[in-house]
Amino acid sequence: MSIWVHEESKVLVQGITGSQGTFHATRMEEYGTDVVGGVTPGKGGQTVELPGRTVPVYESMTEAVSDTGADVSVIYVPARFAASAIIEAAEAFHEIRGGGLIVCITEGIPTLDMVRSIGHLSDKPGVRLIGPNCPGIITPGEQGGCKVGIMPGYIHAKGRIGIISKSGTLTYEAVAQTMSIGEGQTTCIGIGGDPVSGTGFIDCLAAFEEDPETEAVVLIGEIGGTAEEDAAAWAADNFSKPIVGFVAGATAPPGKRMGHAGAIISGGKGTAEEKFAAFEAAGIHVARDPSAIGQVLLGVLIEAGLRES
Amino acid sequence: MDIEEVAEKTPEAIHKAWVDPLNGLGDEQKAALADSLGLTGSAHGSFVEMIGRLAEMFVGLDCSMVEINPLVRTEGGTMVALDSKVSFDDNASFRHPWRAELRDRSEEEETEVRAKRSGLSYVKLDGNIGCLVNGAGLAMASMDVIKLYGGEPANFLDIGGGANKESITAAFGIILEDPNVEGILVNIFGGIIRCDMVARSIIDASAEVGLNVPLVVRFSGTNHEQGKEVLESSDLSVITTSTLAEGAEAIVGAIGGGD
Repeated sequence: MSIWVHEESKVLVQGITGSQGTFHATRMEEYGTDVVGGVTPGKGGQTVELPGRTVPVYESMTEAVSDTGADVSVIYVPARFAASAIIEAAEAFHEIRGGGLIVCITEGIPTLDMVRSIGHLSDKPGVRLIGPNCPGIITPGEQGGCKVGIMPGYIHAKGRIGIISKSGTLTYEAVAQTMSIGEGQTTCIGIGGDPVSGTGFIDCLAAFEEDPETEAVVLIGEIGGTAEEDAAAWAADNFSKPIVGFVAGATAPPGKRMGHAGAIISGGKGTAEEKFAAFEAAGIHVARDPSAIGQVLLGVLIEAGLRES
Repeated sequence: MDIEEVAEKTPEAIHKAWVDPLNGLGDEQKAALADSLGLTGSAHGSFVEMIGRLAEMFVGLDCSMVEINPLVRTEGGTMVALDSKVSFDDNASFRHPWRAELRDRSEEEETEVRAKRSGLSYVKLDGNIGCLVNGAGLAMASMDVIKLYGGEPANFLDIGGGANKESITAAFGIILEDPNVEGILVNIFGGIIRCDMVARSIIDASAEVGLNVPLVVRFSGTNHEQGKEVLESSDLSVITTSTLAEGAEAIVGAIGGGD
């Protein structure tokens, strides 16, 4: 098993005719993702060539979901149109099939646009949003798998570790760390580092708790906000599997935004130290050196009786 | 009034109302806020009007903060803003082109503005090891690991997902402008970005900017082997590693720092 995406997932690409959309639709199809079509307003009726198949471009998400039966959509549209694309996908999934997964890769969406998008999701309980400003979600398979996003597929392998991260390349680093000790992943999710976004750490942990194949989780946070503290408090009471945690930004100066919109220590709050302390208080195994995530995870798996050496 | 101090010492004195993203601030919410401040008569009406406009302004102008401090009540019962501070969401600037006129470049860190123009995200720090990394999270993690190995990072620098030879050259230039920099750690986990492209850009950039400090390059991910080969077969004096820990240890060692 895995969470939210699997080999049977049918994926639509919003913005498929743009350069990013076509490039990543190709990479996703190559990996083994079932890309069933795309949406670009004004280009309905055209087709896009992907490796081994030609897929239709639709005028709207409603048309695309009705025609293809897709349950996942990934958004590569420019920032100023991205919030509308999220709302359109949410309404189509909700009305046609009662739910679906929306993965928004786009970076730089105005915060209040995201606030409005999230407002539209509140009465559609079957619809889940991952992102924006994130690498996406991937479930490696025995062969191929389901990759919905921009991550390099080949670094992953099917296994029993769940990975949740606010960062892009740091997620890949965590994946490489699990591989360095011979462990693969059930599902890896990049939730993004924007101040207003969809799925959070707790949603991911709750899903991993329910997934029988996930036996341990690596959780990667960063400075700013309180999402890590909230996740730690939730996990202490509700999560039964071992977690290894890292927080980026121990050396970040206060009051400076470190790349991601949400990565800022403001008013002395949101420091890495506070988050590490919350992790420790919740029984999360801390790796202060991201290069040591693999070794900490190895120790944790042995201690939990999940591995002999 | 120092609002941070109020939040810390007497949080109960702060009254909050949540603005519905689809419907805005409701009349009852406005009145309740005025009540909670103990306002009556014309001051009550004046406050309700002001707070409504404040919420409209926040949304209409894509603000990330609007602060009125101090806010006073005149003897005549009118609410008056004596001072205020507003900050905008840069991601929404395309909707508000007039904002460009308010910009005072002299108030901004010149290097950070220049970095932004090249598609880089740069923050200067106090240490002596320059960092050039792809991804904000990995860039912070690289600084953290340098510190763990006994060094001090000179900067945060994320070259972003769309980096190319020009932006990497600009990045080297910006790092080397800092006179404290004694060595540079490049940390790339290739995804969309290919390590061999970065390697060739490093070689070109080092010639162009006159690289004269020790350089350690860590490649992982897409085309990392080819990237390493490109660097090792060049004339550039460079240490290559495949893990972040080795990279940090090597750069700290190369400048004679650490334990």
